[in-house]
Amino acid sequence: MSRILIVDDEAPIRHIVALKLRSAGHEVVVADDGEEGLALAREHQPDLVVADYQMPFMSGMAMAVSLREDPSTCTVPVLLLTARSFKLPPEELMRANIAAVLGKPFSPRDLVNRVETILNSTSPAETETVR
Amino acid sequence: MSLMQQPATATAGTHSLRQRLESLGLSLWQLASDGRAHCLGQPDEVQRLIAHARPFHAAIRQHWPDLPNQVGELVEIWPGTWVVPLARARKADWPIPAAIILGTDLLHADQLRLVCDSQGVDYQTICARLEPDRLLGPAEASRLATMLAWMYHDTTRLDRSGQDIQAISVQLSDAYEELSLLYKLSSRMTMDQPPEAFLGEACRELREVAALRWLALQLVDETRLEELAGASFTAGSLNLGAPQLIRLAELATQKLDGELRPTVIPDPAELDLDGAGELAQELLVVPLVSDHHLLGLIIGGDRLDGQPHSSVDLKLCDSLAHTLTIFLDNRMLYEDMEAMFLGTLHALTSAIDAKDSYTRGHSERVALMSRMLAEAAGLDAAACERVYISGLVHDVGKIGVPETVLCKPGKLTDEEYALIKLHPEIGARILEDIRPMRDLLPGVLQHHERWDGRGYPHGLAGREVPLFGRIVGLADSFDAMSSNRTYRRARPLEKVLEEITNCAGQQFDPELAAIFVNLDFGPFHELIEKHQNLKSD
Repeated sequence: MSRILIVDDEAPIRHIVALKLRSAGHEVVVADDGEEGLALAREHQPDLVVADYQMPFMSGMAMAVSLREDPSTCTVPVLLLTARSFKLPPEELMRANIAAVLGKPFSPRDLVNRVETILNSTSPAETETVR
Repeated sequence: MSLMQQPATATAGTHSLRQRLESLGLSLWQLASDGRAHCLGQPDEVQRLIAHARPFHAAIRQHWPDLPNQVGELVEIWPGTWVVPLARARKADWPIPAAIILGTDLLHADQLRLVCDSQGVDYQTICARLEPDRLLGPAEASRLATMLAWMYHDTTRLDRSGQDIQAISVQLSDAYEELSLLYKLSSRMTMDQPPEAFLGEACRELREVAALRWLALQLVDETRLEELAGASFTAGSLNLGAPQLIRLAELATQKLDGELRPTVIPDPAELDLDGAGELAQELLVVPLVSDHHLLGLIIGGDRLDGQPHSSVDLKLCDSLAHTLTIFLDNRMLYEDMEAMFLGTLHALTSAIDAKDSYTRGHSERVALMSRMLAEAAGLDAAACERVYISGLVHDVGKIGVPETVLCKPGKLTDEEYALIKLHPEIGARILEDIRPMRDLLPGVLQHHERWDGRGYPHGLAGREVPLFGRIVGLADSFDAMSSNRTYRRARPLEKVLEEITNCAGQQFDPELAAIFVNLDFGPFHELIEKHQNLKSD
């Protein structure tokens, strides 16, 4: 079981993602904008953040960059949800520690698979060496 | 807003209510019609002592008929002991949720002494445990009772909303899954990939999203479907040969009984097919219907979770069936159009070739060899198809050259030869207004250019000559040399190929010439034979 932070301003998406990840046995923390997401990430130290790209006040991208810059959250991988038309340059993804990008409309089943892949690939040992 | 992990079940509401009551030093009780009380959680010691005493049970039994009408009110059991019903029971005789509130009068009530004696507990010890600041006066207790009933009401409503959100999220998630599947498939629904690949993928995706053990798509055996007529596609663990699957589809179609709507066949074992009982507990059957006409069936096995098929499963398969029907309809229209297009071109070129009995079938053979050369030269499939059409129409311009000149047996005069040399430009002019043919005009306009720049109409040299022009030109010369003409007899294949090699770098692109001489000429000779047979008919 891992702790996952979901950050999305759209309530239906938050609920779908929370529902699917809870059913997959994870602990879920939810925020509805980037600033709250950042605060909750510092407080709860999640193993993964699922964030929407486009949000008011602070985008998912800006939040990911801030997570990366904060020593307490710099190793947390981010799964970014975007409108399908978005194409992000790989170096920008690297800079913000974005492990995967999933276009909307996404398949909830696919989302859970992606989450498991990311969680399995960032074992504690590996995160240690990153630090 | 933070929702830490918490199973959203029916107990979530009572759980949070219990916590709130406990923070007030109270407990959540359930009172039964026989007077017994059951505590949800850990009760306070004195409250437990009272609630488990026979006189308490007797008092509750006595008050029972009135309790539903006393929600949020104090019901005095004896001095200093009140029960507060928090809600009506959902059904008569079901337990009533309640709180027990103790008042200052309890310290002087005989009943407490009786309760202690009957349960063998020391009265003085109990009295010492009763902290005076937690015992309430009647006015205070009454306000608390009202507040508790509201709290109970709000928490249960909150709990129910939570459950509703949960249920809606489940449906939303299913809808998202479906939407994403349809989005994915429709974005891949292009005409340039083999239809089998698309249909096979659609089956695999649908089986995964619907979480079925297996899924099959059986198309009807109808000529309009061309190469897809009678085709089967399967995904998952289905052990059924093609003939049995066709039989299964026939039986399933009978079960639809003319109603071309999704359905479930509850007992496949009763179908007249060996081993049908092992296929599934129940079969999902969804028809592909185009204009009231059955194109095929999606047949699904049991769900992976062992549950029976739901209306959501049927709807999902039906949505996909619609998408596949659109795909097949488009496919058939596309093929009709393609056949119409090619048929028209063949008719046009045959008409031109027919002007001169010696050139009958020429365009078709040039088209064939142009395509084979393009394929061998590594052009992609779409380009090879375009080269084929270019070869087919390369001589269209001959329509503007007088027959007396075209069919003249002897040597041509300079004027006559000048007329012949006009045909590439006439052809290009005829075709240039047909938008979908613009890309293949170079094959028409430039098929008489030469590598050394001594050709016509523009005298282009080397790679200045467009690739289509070089390919069609080579195929054209090959066919001219290989067949009888008004001015000379056909030459044998070896001689022709030798000539092509000799002319590489002069008349022909040397790279293309080297590839050409190694082609398989079997199909070419089959066409020659076919055209000769037509001629002798």
